[in-house]
Amino acid sequence: MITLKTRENPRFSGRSGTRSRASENRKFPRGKDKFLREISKGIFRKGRNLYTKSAAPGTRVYDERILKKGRSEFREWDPRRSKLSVAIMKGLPKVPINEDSVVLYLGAANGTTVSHVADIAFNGRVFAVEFSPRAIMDLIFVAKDRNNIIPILESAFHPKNYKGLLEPVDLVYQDVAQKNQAEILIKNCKAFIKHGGYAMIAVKARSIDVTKKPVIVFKEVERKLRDEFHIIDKRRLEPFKKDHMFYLLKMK
Amino acid sequence: MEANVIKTFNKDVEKAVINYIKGEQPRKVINQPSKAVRSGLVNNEKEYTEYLNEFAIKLVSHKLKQSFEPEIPVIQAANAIEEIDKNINILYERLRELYTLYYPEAVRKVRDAKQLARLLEDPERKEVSKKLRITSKSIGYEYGKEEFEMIEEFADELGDLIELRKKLEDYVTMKMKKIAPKLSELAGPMLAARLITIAGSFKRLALMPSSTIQVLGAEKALFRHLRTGAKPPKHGIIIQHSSIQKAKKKDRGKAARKLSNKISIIVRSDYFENP
Ligand SMILES: C[S@@+](CC[C@H](N)C(=O)[O-])C[C@H]1O[C@@H](n2cnc3c(N)ncnc32)[C@H](O)[C@@H]1O
Repeated sequence: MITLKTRENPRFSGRSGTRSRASENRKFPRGKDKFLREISKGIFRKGRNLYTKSAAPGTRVYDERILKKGRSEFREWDPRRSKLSVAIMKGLPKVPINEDSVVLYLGAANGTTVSHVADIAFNGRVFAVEFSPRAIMDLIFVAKDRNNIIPILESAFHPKNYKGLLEPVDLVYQDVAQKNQAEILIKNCKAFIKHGGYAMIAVKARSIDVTKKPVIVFKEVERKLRDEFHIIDKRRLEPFKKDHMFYLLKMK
Repeated sequence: MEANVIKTFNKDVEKAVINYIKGEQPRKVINQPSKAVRSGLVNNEKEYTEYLNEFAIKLVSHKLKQSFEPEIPVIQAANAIEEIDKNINILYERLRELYTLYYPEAVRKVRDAKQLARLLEDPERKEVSKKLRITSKSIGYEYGKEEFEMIEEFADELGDLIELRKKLEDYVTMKMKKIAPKLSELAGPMLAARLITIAGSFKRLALMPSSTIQVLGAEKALFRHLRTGAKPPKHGIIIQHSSIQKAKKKDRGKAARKLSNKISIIVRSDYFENP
């Protein structure tokens, strides 16, 4: 078997300035709400867009649009940039994050999704693990504006390397696009999750096995996950992400 | 004793980070918010979060400094060369077209971008005809002073771009000879740089099996092969090497295998001598 390393750009450079997203958004019904409505702790919706209340008003993380309400700022949570946003848009029944949550986030990249999670858990802490030096350079600037983000330059393969910094967590969120995604999640959950804690994982079929049909890959992943978790919900992330499945899990 | 350690901890995050790296800091305090408060390191949980945030940022900055590899800027320069090449080609095509309309007899004699840029330092026919020894009367349109000025600017910028490309290439060549001398010898410094760029780092290239090196740069074809069973690619970027260029078409697969074998051996010896 050939092991192949492609050039993966850790930066999401899709910074097109286009504002017409009608075609992409067709799956998400146009909401009736004219005003911001809180649909889950710290997550707001207006029309078809999602928002989180900025924990660092006056700053931006990517090119997100900002809605001002009095002295507060609400940052649009762009589904083209964040899988969690897509999962919520597509009807994830529950987002197990609140203002006090302590979250372990694996695969933090440049902090796009992390920043929204940190907005929601503004009173808690988000431990953001990322092993790419380039990506974590961007993440540091996000963590300077949001002091509840704890950046960690380590591989999620080796939880013992960051054990010294971490307390028990309420949620483990994982988006690492690796071959052994399920194993990495299980390892980290066993090491850090509180009793009754939740996990979320975005599984990219292609990074596990390009030769197999995604459905088959998802089945195999689920078999592994079921040993340790109850699968509460799963969502395909089309049309925003091809061949991705998003799982909401609860530790057994 | 512990209280003391915690005090220094509190005052000087920088020091705490160094202790942490050495494995000498009181870990049991830092990863437990309630204990951190009780011990007096911080006054409340909010301060704990702030402390941890500052600590973590400093720790990452420290590690980042150590993660620098000499090939990092070389990779950027090698990528820049590829991008500049595309730009040079586009601008060269455009400038040819622009000037052809005025003086087609001259453009027909121009072979490359550098020559054109040099030639059009003064774009008027009487100058250009002298340089190229053209005696016949031109069939082109007439351009005026404004056009000559515009063409001059254009040629000047194109010339600068070619100059920049040359400087980047000199830099990459010089650096590659230092970083991977034997690989640079075997593959040429520019191809060596491309290989490292596609692999992602010198280390990754050094640890790659030769079968992967053989198809580096042909990822699309390789994935198509894995997914659909289409023919596997015989070679990636190493096709630029003279030993493969020279081989007959039917022997290219074999030549590619031979070359990638050699590369994988040599890059390892370069890497382990000078990692
Ligand atoms: C798809 S991106 C994550 C995007 C991010 N979750 C967001 O939505 O903003 C995957 C990231 O995981 C990182 N990664 C992959 N394997 C990892 C590992 N073993 N440990 C830590 N990070 C890893 C990659 O460097 C990359 O930045």
